[in-house]
Amino acid sequence: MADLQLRNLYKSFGAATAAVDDVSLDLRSGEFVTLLGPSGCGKTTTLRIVAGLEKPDRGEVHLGGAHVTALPPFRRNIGMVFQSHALFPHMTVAENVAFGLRMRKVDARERRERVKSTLDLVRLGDFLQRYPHQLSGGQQQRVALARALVVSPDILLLDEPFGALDRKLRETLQEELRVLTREIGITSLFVTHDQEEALILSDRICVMNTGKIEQVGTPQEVFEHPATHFVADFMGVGNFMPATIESTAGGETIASADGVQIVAQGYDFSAGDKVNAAIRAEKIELLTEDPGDQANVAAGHLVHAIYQGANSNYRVNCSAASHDLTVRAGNAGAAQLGALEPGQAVWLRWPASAVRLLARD
Amino acid sequence: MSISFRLLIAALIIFILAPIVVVVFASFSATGVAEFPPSEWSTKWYPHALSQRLFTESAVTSAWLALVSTSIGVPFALGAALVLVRTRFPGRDAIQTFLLTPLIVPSIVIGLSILLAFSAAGIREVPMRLIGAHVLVTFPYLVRTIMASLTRIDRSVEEAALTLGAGHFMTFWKITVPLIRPGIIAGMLFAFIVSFDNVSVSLFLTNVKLNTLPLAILNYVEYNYDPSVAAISTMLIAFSLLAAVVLERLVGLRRVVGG
Repeated sequence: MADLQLRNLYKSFGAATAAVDDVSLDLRSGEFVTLLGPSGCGKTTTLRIVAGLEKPDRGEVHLGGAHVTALPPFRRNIGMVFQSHALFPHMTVAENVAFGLRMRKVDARERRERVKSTLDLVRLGDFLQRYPHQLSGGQQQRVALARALVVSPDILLLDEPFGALDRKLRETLQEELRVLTREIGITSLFVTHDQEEALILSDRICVMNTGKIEQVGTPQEVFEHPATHFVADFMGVGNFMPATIESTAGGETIASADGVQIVAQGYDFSAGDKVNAAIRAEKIELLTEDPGDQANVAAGHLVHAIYQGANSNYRVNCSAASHDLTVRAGNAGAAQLGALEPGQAVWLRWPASAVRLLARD
Repeated sequence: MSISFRLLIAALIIFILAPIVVVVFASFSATGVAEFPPSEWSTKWYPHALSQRLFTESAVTSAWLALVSTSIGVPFALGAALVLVRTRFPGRDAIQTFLLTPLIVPSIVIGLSILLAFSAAGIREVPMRLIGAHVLVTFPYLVRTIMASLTRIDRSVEEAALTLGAGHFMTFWKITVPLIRPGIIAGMLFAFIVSFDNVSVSLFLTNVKLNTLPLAILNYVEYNYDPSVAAISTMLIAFSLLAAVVLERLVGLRRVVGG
């Protein structure tokens, strides 16, 4: 267990934009941090720099107080789990897990004990003599996790470990990983493009885009208070209305978007600033009757309704928004919405607390 | 599969197997001339063939030559395959093509070129000449099969070993080599066979005292047409089948041939 500091990491593979561009990040000892972003955002390259599998062009990696930037992977005390499991196919489960201990010249008896106890930890204590190809995908990934953990690494690095698994199995393993890493208190750096996975697992999330960090914060902060348009979009906010600030007074900011008055709480903008008002689809209420002249109400026409099981998504065409707006409503108490016809006039209403104002350039 | 397609496949298989079957039958004829089908049956040509020093000595030479040239080729082929698969440098494709030229250039031309080259270099010893030439003609088979198995390795398996504390040599020895072992074995088998039945290159380099088995057979049938040659051939067929079975047991033939 150790803390990790990344200082101004920069890495280019010769393309026009750098893969990793001035990334600085601190992980406290025992903290679980996720690098989240779309493919090509630099999250995997950042992880591989921490592992020593890539050398940064500039910047430093400090692990447990030691400057490790110049060290090869085998001189850093790390454990890594790969998306492809990367188990050694010619070795049994026990031999796979024992490999790191062998390389560290741990004697045979201690090796056996640690292999057994670590495999018990991932509930595979009875699979010692199996070969990887005899295991299911989930079991293989558990072996990979045990193989990384058995050496008591300073940090656990996970590169989209559940990317190749089906949804149900992924959810089970996410929960197991969450419990396990908290239990042994290991510092973990996790890479994924799945925002839900990041929210479930992390103490903090670091959202990345085009090699740069967009926002670092707790799952709540990133989800509820996205700092940039990109983060809001990536976290699935869905609705953006271009607006202009009119006034700020008494903790309330008022903006207007094509005749729709938007009221938000807080924010430090001045009159005339261009912003995007971001509102989550599930925070908007869909009305079939005109609520009258109010702030935070927009009129429009229903484009279509899509049934999604627990929820339905309603696409509404409003003149105030750059795209159609989406409303997500639970189907349990919304019997009256079922009868909506495409083309019908509808009104959208949302509370001031649901509005996020993001600077627009 | 339609009936006509099955018939076509059957015809092809018969076409391929027929000459082999004829040789096997001919080896059991009792007369002094190889004939098919034999008018009288006998196994006497087997001991007769094995009693001829022309065949036994040249068979030992061929086996020894194939083994030595293949073994010399393996480390070089491994190195070449690693460089060609794992690194990117200008001229890489050219070198790759160049290494495979012995497959493309007519082997009789290669035989002649090697003879001229050895003469120019002053290498006169027949064993040296044979080994050098056979390393050359078997090399592309080794490189190709080893490259094929290297390409299929998931690099993250090697990276996993690095992150677990294995240095580059340990990772190569404990992970890479075991993973490409089927490719190495397949390459050695191909190389062995290519060397063992090579005629066109050996033709230029052997002398009266040191002969390979294919050349001995060629010499023999120039003056004799008794079934002992068919008997030798049948034994070679049996030997190849045995090798295939052993390989199947050892690593799985389909994995080896499938590359």
